[in-house]
Amino acid sequence: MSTPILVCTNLHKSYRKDVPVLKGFHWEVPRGRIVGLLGPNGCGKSTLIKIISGLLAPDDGTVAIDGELRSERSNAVISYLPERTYINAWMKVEELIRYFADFYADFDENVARKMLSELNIDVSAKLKTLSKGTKEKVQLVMVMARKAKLYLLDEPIAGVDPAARDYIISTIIGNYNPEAAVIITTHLIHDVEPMLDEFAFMAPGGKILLSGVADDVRAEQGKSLDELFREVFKYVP
Amino acid sequence: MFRKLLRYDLKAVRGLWLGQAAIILAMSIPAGLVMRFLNSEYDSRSAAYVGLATFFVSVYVLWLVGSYIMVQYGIYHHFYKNFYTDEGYLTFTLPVSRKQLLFSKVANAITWSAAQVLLYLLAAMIVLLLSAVPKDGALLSFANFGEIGQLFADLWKDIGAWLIVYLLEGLCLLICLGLYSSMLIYMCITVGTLLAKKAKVLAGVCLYFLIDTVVSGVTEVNIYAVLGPNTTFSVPSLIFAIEERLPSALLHGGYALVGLIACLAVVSIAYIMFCVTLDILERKLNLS
Repeated sequence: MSTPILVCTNLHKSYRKDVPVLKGFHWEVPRGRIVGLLGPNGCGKSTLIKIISGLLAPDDGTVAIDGELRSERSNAVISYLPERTYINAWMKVEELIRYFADFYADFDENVARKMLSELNIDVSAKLKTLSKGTKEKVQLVMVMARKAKLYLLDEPIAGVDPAARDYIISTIIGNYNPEAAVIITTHLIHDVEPMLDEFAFMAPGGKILLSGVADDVRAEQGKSLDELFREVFKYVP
Repeated sequence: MFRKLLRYDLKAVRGLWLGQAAIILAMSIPAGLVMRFLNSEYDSRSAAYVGLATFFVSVYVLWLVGSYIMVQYGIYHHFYKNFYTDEGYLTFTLPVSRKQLLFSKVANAITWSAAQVLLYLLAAMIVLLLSAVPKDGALLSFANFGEIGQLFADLWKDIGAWLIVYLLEGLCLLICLGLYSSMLIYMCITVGTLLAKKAKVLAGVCLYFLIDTVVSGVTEVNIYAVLGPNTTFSVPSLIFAIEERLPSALLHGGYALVGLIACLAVVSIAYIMFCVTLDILERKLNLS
């Protein structure tokens, strides 16, 4: 049995002394699975994703990626899509492709160009001239064109129209490295549910309330994950 | 990876630098010709022409000062955007260490500041070449360069090879001060983002003046302790204090030693600020 791609052990994180966001958080994510990290606003999903991606340092606890303690080397195997536009506005699309190719050995330039071409995005265009939706698509292309071992997608379909959501979901399914794990955080469970292999319901305070294989739970409970989520978090303060 | 980081940092400021450099060089040519006009003894010079010429030279000087401020703003704005805005999500998830990221920013600041100094030297050469009034119907005169050459020749006659030592030390001190200056601003921006959620820039600016005042004060106190109450942190005062204490045979060695100590002190302070900034980036960074 292969080691999990991600192991979070006893993670603690507070922004203020009396308000812990993560308190003794434990979680393991196996390789080759698409996992939905689902929870209400403020439960610590983005904080956890930021800790895994290296943007935040935990107050205590460890994160292991691909069997090694988290370091800047881990960024070489993690492909992260934040919930906001993070690309350098002064660059052209072509320069962004070169940027990713320069820093990430697993970046497939041909795949990126192919996806951009399918979206009719001009690679000579300056990023600051693109609409918000197009910038988000460019970001997604850059992230999914990598053959990473762990994809972290923080709210990838929030704030986009239904047609764009379908495109994003099909891009994720069609382009991720099948030996990699994908962690998706979202409130729009109904849209992502069909592609999830596993799920984890995260409660405020950073506790996993319920987790498992999506198909098994649906079969046992006779409910969709969306319905189960509404039921579980109805009574959680 | 560091070379790649530096390449992109340099690219981010390159457009701004090239634009203002082109304007400076373009303005240097008429500035030189205008100064030739002001230096000349043509009877046809009227007060109006002299006034216009003086105005043009003033605008040129103002542009030189303004362009320096613009380039410095470009450098530090890039630092702030790349680290502490949404761009930071991309920057800090690259497979490079925080130390490399910060060092690249420092190298970026030093490079463009040095390029600006070289640009000013080139502009000065153009103005000097064009402003000297040529004799005997010639188009150009190298009289100004001749005067500068004569100045160096006189200095060489007085102090010999120490001239080279002083020039190298002066260059070294300029680089060290550039390093100190850029690290101070980077540290203030970083601490400012930590202290104030909303008025980050204002917090950074206030911190800059506070730290600069403290460093100047500590330097004055140290000079007072070592060289006595009549010595202040100024070149003439330091030279006088050294001349009072050293025999004439050791004077040049004394000046060179003070220059070296100044470089080491400035670099040490810059290093401390680098470590403080790095520590915050590694342990306290929180992009929101």
